[in-house]
Amino acid sequence: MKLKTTILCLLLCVADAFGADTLQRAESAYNAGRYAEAVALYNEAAESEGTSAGLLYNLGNAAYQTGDYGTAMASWLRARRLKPADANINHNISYLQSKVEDQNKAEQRGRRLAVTPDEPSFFGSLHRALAENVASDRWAGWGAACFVLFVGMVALYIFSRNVAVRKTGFFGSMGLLTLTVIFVTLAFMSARAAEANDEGVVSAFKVALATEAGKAPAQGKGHVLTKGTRVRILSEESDAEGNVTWVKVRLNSDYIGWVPASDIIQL
Amino acid sequence: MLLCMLGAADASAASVRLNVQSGRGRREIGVGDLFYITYEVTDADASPTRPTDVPGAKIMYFDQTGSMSSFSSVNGRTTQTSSITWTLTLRAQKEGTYTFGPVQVGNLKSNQVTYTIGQAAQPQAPGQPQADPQRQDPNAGPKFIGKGDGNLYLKANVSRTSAYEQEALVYTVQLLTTYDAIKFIGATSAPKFDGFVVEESKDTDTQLSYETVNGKTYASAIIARYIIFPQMPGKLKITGNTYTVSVDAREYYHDPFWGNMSVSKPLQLNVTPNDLTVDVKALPFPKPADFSGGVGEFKITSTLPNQVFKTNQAAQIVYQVTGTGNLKYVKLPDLAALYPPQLEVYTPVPDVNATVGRNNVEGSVRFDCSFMPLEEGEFAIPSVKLTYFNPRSGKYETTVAKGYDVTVGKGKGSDKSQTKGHLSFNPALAENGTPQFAHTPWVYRFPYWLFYILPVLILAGVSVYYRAYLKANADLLAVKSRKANKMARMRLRKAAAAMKGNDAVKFYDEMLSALWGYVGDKLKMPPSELTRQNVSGQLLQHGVDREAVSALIGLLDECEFAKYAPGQASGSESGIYDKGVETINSLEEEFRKARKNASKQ
Repeated sequence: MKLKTTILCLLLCVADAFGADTLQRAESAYNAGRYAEAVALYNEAAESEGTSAGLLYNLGNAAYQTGDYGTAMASWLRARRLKPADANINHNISYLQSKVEDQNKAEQRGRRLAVTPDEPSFFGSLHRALAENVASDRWAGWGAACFVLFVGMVALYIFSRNVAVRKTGFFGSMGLLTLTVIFVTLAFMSARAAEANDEGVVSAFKVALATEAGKAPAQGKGHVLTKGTRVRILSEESDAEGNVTWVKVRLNSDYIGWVPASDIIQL
Repeated sequence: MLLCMLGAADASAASVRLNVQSGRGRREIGVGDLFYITYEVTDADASPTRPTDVPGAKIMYFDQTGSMSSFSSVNGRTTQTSSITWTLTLRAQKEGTYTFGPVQVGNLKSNQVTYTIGQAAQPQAPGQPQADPQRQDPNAGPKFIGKGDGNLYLKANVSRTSAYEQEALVYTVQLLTTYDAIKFIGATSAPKFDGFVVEESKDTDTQLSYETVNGKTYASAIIARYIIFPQMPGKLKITGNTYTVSVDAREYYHDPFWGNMSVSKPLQLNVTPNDLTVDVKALPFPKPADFSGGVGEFKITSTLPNQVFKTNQAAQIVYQVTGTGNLKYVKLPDLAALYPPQLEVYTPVPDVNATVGRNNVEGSVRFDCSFMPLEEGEFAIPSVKLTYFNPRSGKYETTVAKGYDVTVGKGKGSDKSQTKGHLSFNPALAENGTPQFAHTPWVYRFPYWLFYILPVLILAGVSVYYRAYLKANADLLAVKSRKANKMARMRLRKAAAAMKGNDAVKFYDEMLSALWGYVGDKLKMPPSELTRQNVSGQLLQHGVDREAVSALIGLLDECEFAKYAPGQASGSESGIYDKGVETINSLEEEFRKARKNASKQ
């Protein structure tokens, strides 16, 4: 029994050392300016040990430096889902987004189309502020704390003889129960938002939006989106084997159309 | 009829007049043009003969083209004039000034006319060879479709059959017809331009001109005009589109009574112009590194009204490219690379303002570039070079927009905060943290819910325990109540012992504790709540007789008084003891009665 534990411990240590080594190598490659190598190493680390907000952010930075804005944006967005309030992640996302918007505008060749994503409605921005910008675990923590306090208040109500204390217990427990319900709901909403798969990033250098799935538009036709553009995925089309071949994406009312699935990274 | 006869008898002087008319729609006569000499023969029976020779021109036709009679009656005297017009149709052949006539008609002699034949009419625009179609490539000859048979056809022209990539060419469709009236011209589709970018020009000819093809005179008009830009080198083909033309075909006949008459007959024709091939050359190699993509003739200017700025305040510089050619495809060089890094310049949005003219696309493209001074100091905005290809000279040419020296003063806030607040890529790596495969939120994991389950379980457990405790506690009080009499007696015994030992203070203490204790146990009240008021109220509630209660209170008063005021006669101690025993007995009796009453009810 003891031997087994020791072996397990050793194995874990080895795995840990290996992972840390990969990450360290990635970091030194990045600092030396070998960005493509850093991307490969970060990917390797993610495959062998899983991801973290920091790792994904670093992968995005390395990908950005190689010019692969699609991977960069996708990695940062994934990092953001794990750590929505992180200032660095949000900063680089908004920087790249503005850069991509400029490029999309340049691709219009004089046409005047909007390049910013759809303006969210009131409820949309509320959802964004509460569910997408706050980690689920934070809401869950608040919910649990409120519930524990709620139970305490109930105890006061049950056990106390003092009328004032019992009143406090009664109304306090009511309020705390309401808060618990709200926080737990938000925790679920945030968890759902973090696993939403209707978000995508253009990974191809440039992709022209087709009006129909399976029909790439003629040269020079169709509105062009450049790499790194964040889009919403509206629907998908699969081939006979169930592989997604084309996806319908939307940036705003000016940019709606089909693109090959290979040109999109789905989050 | 009668009047006519009368008038004829009274004929006025007969005459013959010659008159020169240039061709329809023209003022001057040029070589190759048709012109006319009319003979107006008034009040004469004779007809003019066809002249054998007209200087500088070739005789085409000689025909009677009109007759006119007029009557006038003045003071009862009626005069009649009748004139017949003959028209000599001529084609000008040689430049010069010539005279013709006089001619002899019957016994009348006409006047003399002078006319000048100028140069052949120039085509309206260079590269629009509508003047001499005979010279065209025989393969590119017009197609006759429908009932055209040479009375109506379309001819496609391109300004140059050999051109550079992106060079502006003019493609026109010319309609040639001998029909009098064209009612409708409609195209079923646009011409097919393979490998061209096309701009349709609205500048078509509304005025008819005349030209001769194979000795036949046609009215001609440009009905479509396109400015086309070849996009790739090679032989590019333009396929003509089909037009539907509705015309009035006029048929002439001679009526014995009315003379020459004509009727018009509607006719619909489908006509297609000839196809054309343009030989497109690639732009000369090597292309300059900073080639802007423009082919044509351009000029770039820059406008910066103010040269003093403040940090963090956006400013605007305007670059305007004017000229002719493929304006829409002109690109500015990368300004971000040219500008000093302290001036951050944003990608401009081109604003194309071009009009499609007769021969080219001309206008301007405006690039409104905004830039943001990030630091204080003096900086130079460099001159911006635009390199384009001029197909006329066949060379790459450069036009320069002038640069500016700008001064940037301090704006609001410090420089540091501006560069920080300004968006730029943050290359610093973050802590990797501990990577995990599953990032399941807490709400999807069971342990989290223990925070909810455990407090509830604890609360439930505690309340169950508390209930049990309360119950047990209640039992304890009942026992105490039952044993109250026994306890009281025990204490009274102690009091009696103290009395025998002459210890007055102890005696009263024991007496008081016996009485209070008895009442407290009996009423299940904690000692803290034992006051005279509480006790008497509770006793009365339990149905104890008022007398017994006042006896108890009186005894308590007596004991307390005696306890705190010593020196009383010791004889009263035994009296108090007896009273105490009696009070407790009577209270016991009262409680028993009350319990009986309660159980009866």
